[in-house]
Amino acid sequence: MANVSALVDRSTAVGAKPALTAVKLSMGLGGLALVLLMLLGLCMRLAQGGLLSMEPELFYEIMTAHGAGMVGIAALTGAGIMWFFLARHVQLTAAVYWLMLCCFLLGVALVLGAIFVGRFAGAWTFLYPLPAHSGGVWETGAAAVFLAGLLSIGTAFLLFYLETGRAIIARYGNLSQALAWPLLLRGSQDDAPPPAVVASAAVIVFNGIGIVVGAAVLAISLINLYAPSFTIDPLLAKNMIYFFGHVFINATIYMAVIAVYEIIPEYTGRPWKTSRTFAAAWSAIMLMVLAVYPHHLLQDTVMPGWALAIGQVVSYAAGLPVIVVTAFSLLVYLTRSGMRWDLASALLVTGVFGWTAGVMPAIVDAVIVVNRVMHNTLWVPGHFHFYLLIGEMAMAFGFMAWLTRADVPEGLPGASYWGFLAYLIGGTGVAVTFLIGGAMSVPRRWAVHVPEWFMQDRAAAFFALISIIGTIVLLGRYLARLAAAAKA
Amino acid sequence: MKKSGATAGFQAAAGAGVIVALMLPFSRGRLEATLVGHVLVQMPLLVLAGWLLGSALAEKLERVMEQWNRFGVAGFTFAIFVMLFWMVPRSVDTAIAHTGYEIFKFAGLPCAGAALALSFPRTIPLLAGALKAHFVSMLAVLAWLYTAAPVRLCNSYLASDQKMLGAGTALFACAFAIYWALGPLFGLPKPQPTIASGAAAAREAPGGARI
Amino acid sequence: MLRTAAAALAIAGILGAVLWQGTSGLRAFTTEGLRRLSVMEQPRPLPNVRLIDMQGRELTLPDELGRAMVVEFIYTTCPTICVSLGESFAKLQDQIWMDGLADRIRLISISFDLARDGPEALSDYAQARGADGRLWIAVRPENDEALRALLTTFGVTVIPDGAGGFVHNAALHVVDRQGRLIAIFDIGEEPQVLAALRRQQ
Repeated sequence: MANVSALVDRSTAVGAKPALTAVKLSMGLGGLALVLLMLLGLCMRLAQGGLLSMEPELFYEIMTAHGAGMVGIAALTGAGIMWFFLARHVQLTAAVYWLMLCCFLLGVALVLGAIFVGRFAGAWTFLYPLPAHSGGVWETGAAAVFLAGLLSIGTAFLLFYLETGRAIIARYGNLSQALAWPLLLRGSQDDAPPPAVVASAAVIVFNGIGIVVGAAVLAISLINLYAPSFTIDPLLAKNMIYFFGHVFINATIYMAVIAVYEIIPEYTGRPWKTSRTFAAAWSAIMLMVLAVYPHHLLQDTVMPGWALAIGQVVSYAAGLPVIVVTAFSLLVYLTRSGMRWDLASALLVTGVFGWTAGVMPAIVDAVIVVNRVMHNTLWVPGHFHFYLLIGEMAMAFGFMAWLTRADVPEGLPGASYWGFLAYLIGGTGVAVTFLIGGAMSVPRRWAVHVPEWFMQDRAAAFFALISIIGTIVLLGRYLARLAAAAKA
Repeated sequence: MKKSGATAGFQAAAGAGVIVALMLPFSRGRLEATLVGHVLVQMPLLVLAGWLLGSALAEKLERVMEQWNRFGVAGFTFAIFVMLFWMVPRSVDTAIAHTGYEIFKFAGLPCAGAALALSFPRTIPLLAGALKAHFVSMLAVLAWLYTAAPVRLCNSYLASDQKMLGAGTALFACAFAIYWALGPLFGLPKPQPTIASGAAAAREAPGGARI
Repeated sequence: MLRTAAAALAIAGILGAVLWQGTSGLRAFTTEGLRRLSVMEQPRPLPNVRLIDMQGRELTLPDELGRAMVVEFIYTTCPTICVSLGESFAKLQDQIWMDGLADRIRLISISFDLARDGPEALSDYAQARGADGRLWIAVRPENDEALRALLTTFGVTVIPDGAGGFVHNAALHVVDRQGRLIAIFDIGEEPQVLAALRRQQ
């Protein structure tokens, strides 16, 4: 503990840029892991397309690693962005970010060990009672290590939100101030918080709740593994798991979008201010994110009707507020000002529109009649690949490009132009082929496909390859520039 | 923030009074007759009484705590272990059957409450928040454990009692979650120290740690 | 800080030991779990008590012929758990006859409801459950004192259920030929009970 207090004291002395190294490291680690997991994704698509022979057991291990890993990457890069920009407005403690990173990496190690040593292949959603019923594929211990890994990752983000929440409260008094509720209710607020703070406060509230629920259901699942007679009501477990999972994955993009609010003004020269509409949108989203998850349960006919109705209505509505406010404001910015284009701004703008486009298939899927047919098809991966690849990760790469930008405007020269283009085309292709597969009623989570589906599997693999090339270019540029800066 | 002697005296009297009231054969018999009374009324009241006593003694123990309980680490450790012990169904059963356990309960839980009262004001918000979050999810897990148990966990109590305890614990979890959320959401604007000076400032202003 | 760390470690060590003790090394979290564990580790000699069976005959515990026993605790008006226990006993009875061990084993249903369960009630109970009266008999302790001694040794807690009946921890108790309680099993674990009995022969 003596060391901790020493760390703590030193970090406040840094003040303006707490844990900048850790943020850069997180983004780099996220990028590297992304490439590896994209390669795993490519393998899955090749296997489904009949171009690569793979045992189904291995397929499901890879699918579990791909899912858990991508959620982790999205969360880590989102957290890096939120931390970096929040530090401009409030005083954060670097030690907590390092602590978060350590807990996170410990969790990752456990998850990977559970999958590739313990052969756990129950998907990242660990849906009860699958972890406990492997049919002999994996031991109870492997499932337990996987769940413990997720718990460790959850703890990492709990610490992250506690510290960011503490710092916001220290600066703005309480979270309702930070959510700009006085502005929202009265039309004016002394010391109104900037968009980065509003967004952070909203994420802290809903993801804090999500993590507490997630920790509970993880602990319950762990106990059930070793005391199977303590059964869980499967419907309750599913509700808790999807509540946690959906809130958690939603949070990633709501953290990443902070990069847009903070960076784009540097390109347009006009500050992005918190307006009444902006505050209303974020408060609405804070509540909606909590209520939207039932669209994952529309096929559970035992769910009460009102819950499903809420799920449909809120899913419809949830996509709208922030997207409208963000995408619309961005459009206004873009048309009215001489926006400078470079890799960072191009990726950030892409992120906003990728996000907007990615929400559309989700809204379609949230319609009960469609959901009954579509939810177990590739349509759903289509939605979240769009949302995460062209939305969240585009924003993350935009942030990374901005972090390593040159002092002089450089436009979009050679390699980065082609890298960006490959990422955009490949990524969109990956998402769209999933959507086409969904429209063809190709089921999701099937290791083996029939030849009629090979065409779209192979097209998907092709686009995946392109997007991987693009990612490697973007990541290579980031790492090379970091190395160059370190040398200088 | 100096506490007046009168406040401390009142807290001490209230804490001691609650403990004595709970020790009376009448209230002991009534509360221990049901699982809910035993676990969700008697035990929390013992902790609360300890909290009051601990708050009353805070100033007197200031120097000792400064040396032995920085950031509340020792106090939290104590409280966590005592609470863990009383979460075990067997302990609840044995408290009824054996006087030794009953005495340990009447001594240990107030001490845990006092430890919390002496630790929360001196800790950093990060630790306080993490403890609160874990406490809430632990309560949710306990609620499930009691509701889902396929067998009677306590030989001295009815199975229906157990279900009620589960439901009651779930309510407790919700109540704590809401109570602890209100401060950060709507609490009075108050300048907060950073983590480094947090412990020092929190010592001056008990209740400063709000997350 | 050093002192705080020392204090925290000492507290964790001491209370951790208490918790370890209180759960028998994290092996028994309930009173029932503890009972089963401690019987396994240390067989308990039965008290010398007199019982009265369904025909009004007196018999003693431990069994004078040195037979192994399976013991259940019941009350004859029990509508719930004792019915399941009875089914368990019926299964055991059939299997023991088939194994040809009927004269070396006893199945004993002991009632703890001294107020209501006289020989007549016991006889009705035995008939309803299919007890043959030779291998499987229903009995009651001769007095309160004997009952208390039995319940204490077996670790059975009986509490009123508030509706005129009782709630009690129900299990299959295996007693060896030396008259020691050696193992406790759940309803449904008849194969394990039979295995334990066979080891006695």
